[in-house]
Amino acid sequence: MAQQTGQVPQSVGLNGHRPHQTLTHGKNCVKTPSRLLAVAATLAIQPVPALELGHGFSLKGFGTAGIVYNENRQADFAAESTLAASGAGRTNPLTYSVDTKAGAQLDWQATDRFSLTAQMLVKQFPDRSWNPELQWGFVKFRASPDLDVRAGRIRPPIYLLSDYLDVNYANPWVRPPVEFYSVTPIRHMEGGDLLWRPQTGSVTWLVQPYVGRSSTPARGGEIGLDQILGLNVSASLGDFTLRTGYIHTRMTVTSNFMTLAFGAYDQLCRLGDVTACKPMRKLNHKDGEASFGSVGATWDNGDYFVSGEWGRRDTETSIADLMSWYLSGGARFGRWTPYLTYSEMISDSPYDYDRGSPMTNFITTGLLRGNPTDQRTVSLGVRYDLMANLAIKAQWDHTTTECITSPDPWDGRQTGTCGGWFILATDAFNRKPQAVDLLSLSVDFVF
Amino acid sequence: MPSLPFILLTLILATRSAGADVVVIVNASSPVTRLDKNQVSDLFLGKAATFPDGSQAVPLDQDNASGLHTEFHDKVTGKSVSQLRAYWSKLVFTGKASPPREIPDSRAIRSLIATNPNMIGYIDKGSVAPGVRVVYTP
Repeated sequence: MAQQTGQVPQSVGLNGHRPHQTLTHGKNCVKTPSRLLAVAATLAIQPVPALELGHGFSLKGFGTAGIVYNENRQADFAAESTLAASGAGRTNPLTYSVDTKAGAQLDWQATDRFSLTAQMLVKQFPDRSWNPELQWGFVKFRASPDLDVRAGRIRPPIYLLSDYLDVNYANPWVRPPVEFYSVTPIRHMEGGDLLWRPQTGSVTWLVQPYVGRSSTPARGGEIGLDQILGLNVSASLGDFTLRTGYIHTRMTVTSNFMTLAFGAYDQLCRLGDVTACKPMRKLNHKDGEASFGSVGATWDNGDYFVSGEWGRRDTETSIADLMSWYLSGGARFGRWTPYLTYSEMISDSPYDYDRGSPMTNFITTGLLRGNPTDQRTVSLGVRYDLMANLAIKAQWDHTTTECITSPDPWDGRQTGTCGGWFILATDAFNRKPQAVDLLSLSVDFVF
Repeated sequence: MPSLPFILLTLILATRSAGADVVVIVNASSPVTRLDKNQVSDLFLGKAATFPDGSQAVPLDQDNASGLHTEFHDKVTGKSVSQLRAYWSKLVFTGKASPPREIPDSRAIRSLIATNPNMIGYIDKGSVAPGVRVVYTP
């Protein structure tokens, strides 16, 4: 399959500008992951759970070969809205870049107490490259049978599925619900955590405090998180698991649009437009406080499963405060696992600003409209377990987005944003509520 | 909804696998005398790393192609081979935990457990011998 690298026309200005819009398209090198997947697929046939290499070394791997079809040519669908270079739809109606990925993990059990883990992941990154990236790279010390300490590069346990977000084989769906799992765009952090697993009666607990910092390349920019402080607690009893988590951080968003907007505020403020000084401070894009709190639960008795999560994001920046949740259920009939999911993201933040001078209003509204609008998806799919380490999945998603529009101050034309989590949207897409159907097919494996 | 041939197939498979009797064993010198289904399940799913008395537990699984593996997991953890693989994928790709070692047969498991007080495994009832103690019968 050829990756389309053609220039996508950009809209600039008030009309649905997105701060993370791609700034560099073009003839970047695009390595196809097919050769890598072929190697991984060959290894996946082996029935062993891991390749034992001796001296305490073991090699494991996982991957997904997936295609997504989006008939709507006005915007791209991507699994991780802020972090994806492109997706299915406007750039290319049929693409493998949304879900295809492969990972390999090398573990070294150095002693009874010390172990090292390094995991490389290949998928399409925001700069359109398919270069391998270190996802996990940590040293683990087993302080006692129920207490581990880890330091290095780890994935913060923000969500129920954070640990294995890229291991699609571990989940029933083609991909985790995007309305919920696009909310905190972070892949990993440099830091440490504690994994404490006490037991009270029949309840097994996991108490996991963590600290760190991270820098994540996004489409047309970068998201820096400093002073990450978080706690993840889960309790499981038989088939039931309950989980809650909270993360607090100081966020710095770097993008050309943000730099431009805050530079303009600064100029206006200096020139005596006092209305520009307040939003400049309040919508701070440097070290602004941001937090995400969530609760989730799963019940899985082997024949049936139900899982759901609810979360809330708050920031002291121009990045929106929002609420999101999903509920999913399915049943296993031998090798077949049909499932149904509903997920929703609702923004709490304003999209318009009219308390300043015309110039301040223009910039502030532009910043606020870079935020996603409300989006809902109903997903219906089925997983088929072909082998003990290989599953095939097919999924249909029906996604609807809501609109924020208002008359343009200059020509009175309705303008706004209706993009939801869709990316690279045209002005036409941003003028009315959308209903988009997606078809996905994927093969997931582990070895 | 499951089709009729599928239901029949499930019944046939269910009847076939109900043949062997599986028992959970520990070393005879272990202070552990009895475990319940949840405790055994938690140990084999890596949710618990210790016995109720706080001592370290090292579970040993049967080879996943064996009938005992299917029977044990069907009765105790409630998971099929595919579901177990999906379950462990959630833990191994984070370095959080590793699945139990898989041992080829009951006799090998029994002799390992007879020499190590921290190990726990399951074997067919007929393979029980001095040196190990049955702590749970599913």
